[in-house]
Amino acid sequence: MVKLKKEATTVSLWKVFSITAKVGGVTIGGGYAMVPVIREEFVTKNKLLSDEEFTSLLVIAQSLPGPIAVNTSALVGYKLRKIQGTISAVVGAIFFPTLIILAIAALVSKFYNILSPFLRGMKIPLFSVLLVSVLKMWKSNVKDTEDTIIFMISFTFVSFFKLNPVFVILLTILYSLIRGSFKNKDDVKEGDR
Amino acid sequence: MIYFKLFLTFLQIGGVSFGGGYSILKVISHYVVETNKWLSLDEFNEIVAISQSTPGPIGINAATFVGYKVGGIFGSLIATASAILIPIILSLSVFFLYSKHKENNRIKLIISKLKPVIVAMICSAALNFTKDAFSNLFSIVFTAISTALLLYLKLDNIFLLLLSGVFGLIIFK
Repeated sequence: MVKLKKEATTVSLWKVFSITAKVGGVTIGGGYAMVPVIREEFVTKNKLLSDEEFTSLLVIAQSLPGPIAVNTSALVGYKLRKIQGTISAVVGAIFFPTLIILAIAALVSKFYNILSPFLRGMKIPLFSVLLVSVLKMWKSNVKDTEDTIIFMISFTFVSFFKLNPVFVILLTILYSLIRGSFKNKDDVKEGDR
Repeated sequence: MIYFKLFLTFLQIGGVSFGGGYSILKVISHYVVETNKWLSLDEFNEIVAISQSTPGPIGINAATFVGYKVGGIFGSLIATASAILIPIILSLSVFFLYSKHKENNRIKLIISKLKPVIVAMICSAALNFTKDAFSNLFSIVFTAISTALLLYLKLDNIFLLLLSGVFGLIIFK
């Protein structure tokens, strides 16, 4: 790697890629499992970011759509090497997951007859996994009557009337923006949902 | 053209993927199973099971897999890239705004109102699996036991999935 290009260029794109690739390849369990590992690599081990910088990036990554690991990688990459850094970090983060899924997809379509009972078994506990995650999230995410009404309406329309979830999410964003401009009157009726 | 359709579909899916992986499953199944009928619910549920137990974000893994099934390797790359495109652009945009404003109340407000919707999406995604969970006596018992284990013993999701896969090999042979 050429190192004398710019003094600001402290870290190579390859380094950025290899760190996020390493994290992405070993962390099973998706988003929230990856964040502490990303922090460990960038902040503690390689000292490329301060803990404060990382936390402020994490706040952004958490509040936007998209997998938190991908968003965090995009921002860390940008902080280190601008847009090239973003690309290297994101490609790194999804590199092994994508390869692994492709390999499994190819295997599954080739040996479907042998693997099908295994897959059929694997599907059984997903109802429980999702249900338990709803139960765990309930208290901190559905806080008052308004939240409960929003939950009931979205659940009913998406599950039973096959309403497009994207539509429900966009409507809720619109609702929260309208509601935000009436912030003083806190008990605005739920007219637009 | 299938690639363009994949691109548009996963662009939308990625654009609303708030609240971590599970909530996005319902959005993906809405487009892939109900609207476009690219896959059956059974096939999609298999993809979810695999995506949960391999490294990487579950939504992106599912996008990659669906893309492969619909449009081969090229399809999988298109689906993966388009699913993360809007999130990346948004992250960078907010990064610039954030460094000026320090705190963005509007986003906070949106998120607080989206939270119950996210829970509703996960609940709705759970319903996708009712057939798998309650199809016969074995699966009903297994569902009851695994719910209890997850709730009270904090059993690891992936361990549970792999274990049930092994059971599947024995039972459904």
